[in-house]
Amino acid sequence: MNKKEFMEKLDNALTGIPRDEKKEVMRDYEEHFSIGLEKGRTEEEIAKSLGDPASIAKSIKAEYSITRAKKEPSIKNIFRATIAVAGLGVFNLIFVLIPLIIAVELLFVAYIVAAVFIAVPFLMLVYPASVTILSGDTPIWMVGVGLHIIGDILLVVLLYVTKGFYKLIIAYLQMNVKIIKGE
Amino acid sequence: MNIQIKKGVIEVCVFSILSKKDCYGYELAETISRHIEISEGTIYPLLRRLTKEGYFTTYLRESSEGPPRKYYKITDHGIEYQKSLLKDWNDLTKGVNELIEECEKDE
Repeated sequence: MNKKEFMEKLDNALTGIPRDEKKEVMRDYEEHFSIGLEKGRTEEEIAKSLGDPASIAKSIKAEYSITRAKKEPSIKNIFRATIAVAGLGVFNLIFVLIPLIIAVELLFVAYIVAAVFIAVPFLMLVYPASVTILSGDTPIWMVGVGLHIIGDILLVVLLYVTKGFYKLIIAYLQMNVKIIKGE
Repeated sequence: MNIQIKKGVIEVCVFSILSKKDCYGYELAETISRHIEISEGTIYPLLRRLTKEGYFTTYLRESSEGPPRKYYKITDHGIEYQKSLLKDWNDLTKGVNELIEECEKDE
């Protein structure tokens, strides 16, 4: 592979990152080639010692997607970052995607529980028969209001947990990029 | 070398070199390659990340031949980090070496 081929491959593989960022990356490798040539190496030698442009592009994209998810927190950005990190290799896939899916599922279930609790008094108004079994000796309205309050508290706690969880995912993704990718 | 070990090791190398003097990317790749086998291209994503995290700053300097070179300079924050990284590294290698010696003796 000569310089032109290397740069083209890198250029093509660096999708989804801003133009400025890409220009900067390309500049670094241009510089690397020109210094190598000055030192009397051939383009092929330099390209070979640089390694595979596709895997270089992958790690740059992963780094970028994490930075972005940090700066502009959103579900879409965190999802992108996760996919990018998971794409670095099978090892990352196992250690990133699976724990994340489990955690998101747990969080999702907790939100549903909170929503059901909050809805209980309203459900009781609509279907009075549905809760008689639960109440026992306690006045039925107390059970309803009690569950509703528990649901509210749970919801507030969950909102905090979600926020913390977001930060945790970012830190976790960063750790994955740092430790696992090393080629 | 095992790729999972390598990334952390390259980071230690980069910090050690830059704590002594400012370097451009090629120089760093060349210096590290003299001692361990690496894909030199991975040095740039690493430098970008560590620069973004505030451990290094960069500046351009004209060279007598060819285009200007991008130099990396370690920050105060980077120096602090380098010290703790070096300590971790020494503890780790010492521990692992002791363990290996012990195992060899048992044989």
